[in-house]
Amino acid sequence: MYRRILLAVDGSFHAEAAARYAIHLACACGAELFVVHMGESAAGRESVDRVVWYADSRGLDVHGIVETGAVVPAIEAIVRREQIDLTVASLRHFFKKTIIKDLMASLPCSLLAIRVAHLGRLTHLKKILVPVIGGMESDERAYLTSKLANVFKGTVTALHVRMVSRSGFMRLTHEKKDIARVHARKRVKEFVDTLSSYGVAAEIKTAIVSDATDAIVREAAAGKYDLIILGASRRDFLKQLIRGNPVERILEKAPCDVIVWRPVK
Amino acid sequence: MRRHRVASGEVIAMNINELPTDAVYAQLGTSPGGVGDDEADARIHQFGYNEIKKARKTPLIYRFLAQFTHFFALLLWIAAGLAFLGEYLDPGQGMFHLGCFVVAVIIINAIFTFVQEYRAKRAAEALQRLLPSFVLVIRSGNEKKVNSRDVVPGDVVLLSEGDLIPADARVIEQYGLKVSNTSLTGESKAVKRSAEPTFEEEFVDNPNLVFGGTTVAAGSGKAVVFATGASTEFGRIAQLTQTVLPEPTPLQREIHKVTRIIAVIATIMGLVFYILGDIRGNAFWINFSFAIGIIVANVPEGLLPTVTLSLAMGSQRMAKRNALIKNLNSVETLGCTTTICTDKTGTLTENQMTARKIYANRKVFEVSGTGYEPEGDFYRDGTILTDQEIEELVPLLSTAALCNDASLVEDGGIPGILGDPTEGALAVAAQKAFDIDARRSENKRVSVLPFDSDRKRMTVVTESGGKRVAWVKGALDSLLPCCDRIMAGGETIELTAELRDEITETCESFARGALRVLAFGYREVGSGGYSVEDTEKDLIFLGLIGMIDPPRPEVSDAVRRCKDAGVRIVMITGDDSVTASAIARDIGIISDDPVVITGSQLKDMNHSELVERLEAEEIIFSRMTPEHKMRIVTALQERGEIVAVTGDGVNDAPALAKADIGIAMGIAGTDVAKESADMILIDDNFASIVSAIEEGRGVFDNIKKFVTYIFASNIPEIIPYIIFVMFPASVGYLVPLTIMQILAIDLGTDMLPALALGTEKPEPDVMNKPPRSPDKRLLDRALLARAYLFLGPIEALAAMSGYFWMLSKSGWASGALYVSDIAYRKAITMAQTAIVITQVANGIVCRTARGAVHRIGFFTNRLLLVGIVAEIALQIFIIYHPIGNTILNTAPIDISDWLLLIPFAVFLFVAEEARKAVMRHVRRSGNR
Repeated sequence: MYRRILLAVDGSFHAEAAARYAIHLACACGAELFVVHMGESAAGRESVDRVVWYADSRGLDVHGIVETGAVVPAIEAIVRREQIDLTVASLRHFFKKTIIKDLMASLPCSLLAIRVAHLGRLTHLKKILVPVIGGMESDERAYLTSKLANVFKGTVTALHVRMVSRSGFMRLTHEKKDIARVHARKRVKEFVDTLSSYGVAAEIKTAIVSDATDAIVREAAAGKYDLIILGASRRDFLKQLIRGNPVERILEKAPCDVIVWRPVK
Repeated sequence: MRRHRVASGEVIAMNINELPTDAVYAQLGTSPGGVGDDEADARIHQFGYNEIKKARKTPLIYRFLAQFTHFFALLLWIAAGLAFLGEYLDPGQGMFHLGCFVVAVIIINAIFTFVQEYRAKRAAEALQRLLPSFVLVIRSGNEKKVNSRDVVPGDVVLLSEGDLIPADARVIEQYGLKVSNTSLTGESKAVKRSAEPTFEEEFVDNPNLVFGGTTVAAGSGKAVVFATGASTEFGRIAQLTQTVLPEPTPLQREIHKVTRIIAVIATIMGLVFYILGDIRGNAFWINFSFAIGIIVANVPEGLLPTVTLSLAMGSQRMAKRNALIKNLNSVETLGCTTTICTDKTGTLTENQMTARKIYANRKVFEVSGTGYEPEGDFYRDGTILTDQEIEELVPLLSTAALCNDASLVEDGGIPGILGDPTEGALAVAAQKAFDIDARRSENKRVSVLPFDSDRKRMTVVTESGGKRVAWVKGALDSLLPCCDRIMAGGETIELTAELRDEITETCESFARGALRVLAFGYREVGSGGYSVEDTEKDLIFLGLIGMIDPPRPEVSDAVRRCKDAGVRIVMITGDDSVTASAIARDIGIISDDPVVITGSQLKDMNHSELVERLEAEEIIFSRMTPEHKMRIVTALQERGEIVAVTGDGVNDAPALAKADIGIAMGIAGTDVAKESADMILIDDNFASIVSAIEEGRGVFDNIKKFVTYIFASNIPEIIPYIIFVMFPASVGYLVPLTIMQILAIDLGTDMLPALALGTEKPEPDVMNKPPRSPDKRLLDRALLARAYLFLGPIEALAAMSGYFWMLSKSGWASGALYVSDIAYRKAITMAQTAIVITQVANGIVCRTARGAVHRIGFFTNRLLLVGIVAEIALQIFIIYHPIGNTILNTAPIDISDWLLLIPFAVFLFVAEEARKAVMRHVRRSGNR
């Protein structure tokens, strides 16, 4: 699925820490890797060199690209020119007003934004949490999850988050929760089955909550997960104004690394 | 790319703890000189500040305003709005006063309910307080003091004794470094840290890691930060504590439901009677005020504040029984508790190790005494030893006293120990035979080979009279191989294989009895250096001492009461299965063959398996860490259990927040655990939980009592309206009880007695019943029938009898009355007084749901007596004071008129007590 992967680095330590995901993913997919830095800084060039050297040492077909100019249009041009399937970039502990946000809006390929939070467990991602809100599943997500699980030898938990209002939460009985869990399993089954077809078995959990963000962060903290794979969702202005952006809130609160994935347009 | 090592084709999983120092620097993008200042700034932008963000809270003003918009309040707003509309359209009908009263009711309700719900969640602040404000780091090669908020991954932090550690870090240099993880794990003992790579499976167990929020207990060192803020262990716990959405308590659910049911009934009745009046051709305003009257009469205005105060009073009674309630709603939840997950050490046991058995001279002896009190005797086969016989224990007890760092102290006359509890128990046992201080003075310490976990032994060399002796203690399996002789019958003989077997069997029998066993030996040594290899060999075996952390004396009874009450006890302990099972059996938690689940088994168990295993009636979790509690609590809750959980460490906080009732230890508990809990045990004693459950059960009964009391008065408030609508001529075309009078009863005379019913002590049989099912209704058929079909009609009969009697006495036979007629005013006064007097009797009979009132004593609820006096005083004010007369349109009545009403109260009392007696008889017959 991913034959050509673009990795964007900006010369920061954080971007290099996140680069390992792209490298391991490229290894797992047998993909060609393009390491790109936009700008003229020495740190950026050195960063590209280090990543290329490391990827090369892993036997990857890797290319270093350093260009100047406006970041988003230039990366978009490289994506189109090199027929990139997946772009990977590091994400800080926030999402708002970042280049990633602009890349998500413009790039024609799939995109992974990676926020590295815990440097003590590098490449030791034993537990992966995949929250599923509603039914936004696809084969690509299962493929990506399975590749990451295989490469890190991690276990996957699909967390189905079922939203109820606060007053609805007050009225929930255990019987109603059991019914909701059964219902949730059906909703997640397609994703889990696809994952299984890629050779990865996943545990299913259900959270019946009034706040999805809290539920995901709570599960990540309680289960000591090492990585959360989130699907990016487009929210209209009004919804964002009223309820905020859940990705933003998870990035701020999550106690582990977070990958925000946006499928190919 | 900064990497330590790479293998081709495979990802090498390397955690920070597994790396040597140079690779730690490489992985974290730093060096011995730390990160540069610019890089540190950049990393703040990349990783965020090293702080634990507080959960967003709803502003207080919104929370207060929410009290005016819930369903119950909305209904009353509508009633008030209609009343004001009525005043506007047709002034002078008293609608304005009515509207004002209803608004006052809404405000009073809102304030009380707001106070009830106002509970600051300060766990985050408590966690934040544990982080230091400034720390010493190395940046750009120089030592620098920075705000702990600005610490970033890659910072090299300098640690010295007493420092608070700012973030999770890997130790790279240490000089006798010990940290206290008390704030994180509750474990009070300081633990050594090393700078070498370690490979513990559980990340946090690695001894080369230090964690934010913990303290440096001794030594110094350097560590490189690898996680900050929300990514630290503390951050993770903070997220758990802040994001756990407590399940609504059973009472909250019930009140939620009850208020809606009552509101719907009230509205429907109001509409129905409006329509009936309209059909009969009554004037619009009569029907309108009638509809509002019906609604107001039906809505038990005092219910919410009364529930709140009842819970508060319950919590006060619990405080007297050493259970401090933080969350009022938890009071009643305790009554529904079906499972208690309890720690062992300190909660079920004394947390005071005590020597119980001794093996010396090939004989087994018993030791009496409790805790650290150095009083007790030595027994053999049940016979107390004489001083001469005790002599044969002296060599063993001398070793126990000399090879020992603990000392005996007294704090305010209470004996205690300084040092390790196990060593303290040995010192106390020795003190029962001789003065250990004198013995220690006679035998000066020359050298110590400290205990370590590899060889599991400790040796002290002492000198007395020019002779040096090495005293050794340790685990039997490590000490016995060092011995070649044994002291038996005052002689030293060869330690044969048979004797070794005998010793091992004795040790095993001690262990089966939940005793922790230590072995002792000695040998004479020469002067000079004392290495482990040269000193701990060729020892003379002296014997064994078996110790136990004994159960608290009151715990067995508490466990029995729990079982009688249908509450399951699940022990969750860090101890091994044998010790846990022995203690659990000793105090009655288990009897048959329990399910024992160890920490490692739980780790390998998936969620559904755990839920399934929890079906077992008797279950013990051993070798558990606080982390496991949250899983167990969640699984129990999924089974529909109402779970109470005890805890003391910071790691317990998420489970405490998740549980239906989180119980923190008052003595051993950390601040964070206390902040997260609903209840704090002042004395850390399990028995106090059981007392609190008893009180909790009493609270639900009490709520039912005053609901019965309040509902009963609704009938005499409604019946006059019904008669007025159905047969207006019979009541002189005026309502026999005005809306203002109804409010005076509901919010005036009824209020104090209703509150007083909330203070009733639990009935004697409350702990002989299974826990209340969360599905059991507050408004069940029995309660409604008792209030509406039995007590209420008697009161209505009294009210209408009083009304008609007074009209008759005033000479009225028929025809239309006027509001200002003295006959009408006296008649409505009589009706109201009848309700008040019968409510006095009702208050007394409502004190018990099943038992006879005289059995609990008429004068045992002083607040009720005060309430009754206040009720009557208020009624006297309403009848005889001009202000009362003006507001309520009442008029003074004669004393003889009161006497006419008393028989109704007596009748209500006798009838209700007779009903209870019949019910008891029927139940007894059914049981047979």
